[in-house]
Amino acid sequence: MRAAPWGPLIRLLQGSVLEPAIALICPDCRAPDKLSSEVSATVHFEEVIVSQATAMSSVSEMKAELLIRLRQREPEALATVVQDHAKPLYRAGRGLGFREEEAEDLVQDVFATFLETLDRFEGRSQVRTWLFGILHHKVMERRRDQYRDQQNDPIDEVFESRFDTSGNWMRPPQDLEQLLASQQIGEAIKHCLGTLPTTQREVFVLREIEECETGEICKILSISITNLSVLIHRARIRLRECIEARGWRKAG
Amino acid sequence: MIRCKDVAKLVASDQFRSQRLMMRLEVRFHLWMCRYCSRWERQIRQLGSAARKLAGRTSVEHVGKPDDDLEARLLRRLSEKGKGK
Repeated sequence: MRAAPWGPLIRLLQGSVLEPAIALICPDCRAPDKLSSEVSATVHFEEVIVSQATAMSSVSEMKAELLIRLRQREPEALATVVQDHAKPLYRAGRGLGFREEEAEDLVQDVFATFLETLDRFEGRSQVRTWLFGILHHKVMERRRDQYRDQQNDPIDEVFESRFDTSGNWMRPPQDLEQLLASQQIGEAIKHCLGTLPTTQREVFVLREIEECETGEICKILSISITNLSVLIHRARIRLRECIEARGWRKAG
Repeated sequence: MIRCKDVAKLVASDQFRSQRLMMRLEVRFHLWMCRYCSRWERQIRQLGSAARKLAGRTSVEHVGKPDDDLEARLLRRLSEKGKGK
């Protein structure tokens, strides 16, 4: 370990000293980050395997009136739902590697299934959670033949190989500042996202692009919070390794 | 004392924020002291923001112009499907 100069000191003052100090003085006055929701999600979802899409019903958000109108097949109610959710679903479809027309077909399929399963939707979970849950099932259907997430993912060994037996860096992360700040990073991310197994990619897209909370991702994908931690860890490591390999090639 | 490997794992698996205060302090302190862990943590964050930027550009480039066409197309197709039944 080597001490770095002033930047980290300022960060320490901002993050490490102020945040705990505020938490000590006033536990309810925490910094406006995702902390409180993630902690509560941890408490509520720890080790709980949320089963199928029908179990997506713990938060009351859906307006009963809209639900009734949807069940009556009112075009305006459907238009509201499409207007609110089409772009995020399409963006997720694109983020998961589907081409333009494929992504649009996928979203259309999601809304069609949404209409067909409306009677099973009790309105206790958010419409967004329900729709993304359907998207997940559609993606898994289309990617059935692809690499399945394994208990022992080879990327775990890559991560392990970066450290010695005492847990210190043996192969430290390379400096990627230039690449990460350059225009090329978009292209690199696009390429490297393509190397992720489907579920890892879904977790990354939901967390980083759609900025979903932990609990919501667990519901959408029907996974436990422990499983989510493993998947997001593997997704980021795989993405970072891929970017580092590209950065290395470009530098060479 | 917390090891680099533990810090790297906590940061990449999103588990850092759900740790107890003392553990979070220890991790913060470690990040301050260790240039490699702090580089790692920064890169993990940058990957997320770069992906968000890319997605923003993607939606503008590919949803079609004008942007609202996607919703209109979807609604048209859904209503055609409904009539076909």
